[in-house]
Amino acid sequence: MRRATALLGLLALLAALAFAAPASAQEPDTPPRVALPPAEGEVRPGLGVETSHELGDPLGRPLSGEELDRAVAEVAADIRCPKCQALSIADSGAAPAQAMRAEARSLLSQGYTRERVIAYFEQRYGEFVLLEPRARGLNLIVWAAPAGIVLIGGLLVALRLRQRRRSANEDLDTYLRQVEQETAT
Amino acid sequence: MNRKVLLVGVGISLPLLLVLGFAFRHDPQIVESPLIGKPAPSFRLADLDGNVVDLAELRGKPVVINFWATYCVPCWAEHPLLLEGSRRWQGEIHFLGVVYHDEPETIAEFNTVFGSWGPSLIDEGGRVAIAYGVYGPPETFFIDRDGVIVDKTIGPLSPDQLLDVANRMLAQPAAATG
Repeated sequence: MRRATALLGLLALLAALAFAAPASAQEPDTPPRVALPPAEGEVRPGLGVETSHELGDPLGRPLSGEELDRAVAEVAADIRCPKCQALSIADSGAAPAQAMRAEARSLLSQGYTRERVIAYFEQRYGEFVLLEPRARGLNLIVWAAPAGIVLIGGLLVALRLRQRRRSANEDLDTYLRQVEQETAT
Repeated sequence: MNRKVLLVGVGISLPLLLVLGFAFRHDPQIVESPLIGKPAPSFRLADLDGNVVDLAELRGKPVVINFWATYCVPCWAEHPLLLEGSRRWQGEIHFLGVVYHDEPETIAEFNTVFGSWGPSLIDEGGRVAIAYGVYGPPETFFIDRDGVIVDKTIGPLSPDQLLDVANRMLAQPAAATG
């Protein structure tokens, strides 16, 4: 009987300690040094960045499922990964690229058009974020230079061939004149 | 014939040299932000202790926002300068750190060892970094009393840069604020 009482007392003590320990570890006035991180993709309510007034109202229809996946892939293929060398955010596994893909997905699912989403990235990062520069201003050099070089090269080759043909004809004429003179005498 | 070759050579190489000369005057890593002169994107973020900072509530005083991470070596280099700056302009300029794709635990550890110059705000999902068009840490944005981005630096801050922009922002009359 005495042994049973002692055992019960020990169990009660252990239970009290088990409940008391977490209470004493967490002081009410001292918040934890590091707040618990959110689950992946989760943003705490009320936190984040306000962009709706810059984006305006969505003009398209909200996308979902495979259609959304396709639209995200199309947008991602045109946007440069800010941390990579000449890679799109579709081709990069870097954290910033993942964040940008998630942002594109979020905007497209809200009904923003592909053009608006691309324009949003351009407004934030500048034109450099576009993998394909727009054909305007100094960028025209990039678009026109290859065609220009091929054109100039072609003209040079044509001129050279014409000159060569002309000089060959002149040589032949001279030779024929010589032959005529020699056979005449 | 030789004159022709010379003319053609000059005609081809001169534009190329001009383009290269123009390009080499600029560091390709430095992309000018289209956000300069525009209102700073508004955000509400929590620091490591869970305290929420609302950028809109800081209007009236200049703000320095530094995007940083513990894996970024230049961020370590500029850390003492930011510590010094936050002490020097305490009460005059707000210094905010936005963590760029890094773990809160590592940031807390860094701050314990090296000291903290302002709240380290956790940018969940990296959306604030996108809204500010951050290419990579460290990048520092300077926001005037009216909430307009007046300057941005890429790479570690230099004392001259910090002093120059801080003085410019502080010289802006407080009466201009809304």
